[in-house]
Amino acid sequence: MVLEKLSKIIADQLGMEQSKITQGTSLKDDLQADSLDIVEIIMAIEDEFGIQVDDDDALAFKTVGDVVDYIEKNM
Amino acid sequence: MTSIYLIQYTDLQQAKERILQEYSKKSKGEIYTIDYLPSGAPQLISSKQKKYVSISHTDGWLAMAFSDSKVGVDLERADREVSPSVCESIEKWTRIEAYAKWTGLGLSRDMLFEKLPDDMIITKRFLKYVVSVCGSAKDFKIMALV
Repeated sequence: MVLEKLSKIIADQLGMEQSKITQGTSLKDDLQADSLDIVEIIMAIEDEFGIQVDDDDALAFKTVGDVVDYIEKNM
Repeated sequence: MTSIYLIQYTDLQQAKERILQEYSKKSKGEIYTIDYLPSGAPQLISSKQKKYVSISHTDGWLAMAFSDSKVGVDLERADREVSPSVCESIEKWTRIEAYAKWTGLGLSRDMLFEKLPDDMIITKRFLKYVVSVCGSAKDFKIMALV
């Protein structure tokens, strides 16, 4: 399931507990990911789900739920 | 010459103000404040001479670069890992980020693969960190505040 795999990717990149990452988690405020973290996460998403993430679309992601929706739409 | 002020912080806003105060002191009574564009890019506001600023923070350190012309700065821990699929080293990453900030447009995927304007980017080490600055200045000076 997408959230499961996505939260693992994010948890691995940021060194945090997977269970703390939910649909409502804010990328900027809760995760405090910087640009390098975001790029790493996006590349891992592309590898894991076999999709291409557009730069402009990536800018619009506010929560983990936004990313889940995007992945599901483009899988 | 571009100046980079570095300070350790717990309160980021306070640290920015502290650096601005220091910088203002060196600027013959000119008072500087910072405004942010919708893109997130910082702008230096002053009544007299036009100056430019770029900001980077990581690992409890804040870096602010000041210059007479457009500038971009990035600070990272030298031992930070970066995937080979993103770029070849953390030094390279700081150069890409500094360039992205210099453009004022932020990072785009293309910048990871494009040729960087290497003659406009200087990279140095500071303690256990690496810092890159992009701009027209031929050198930069690091000032660490306590």
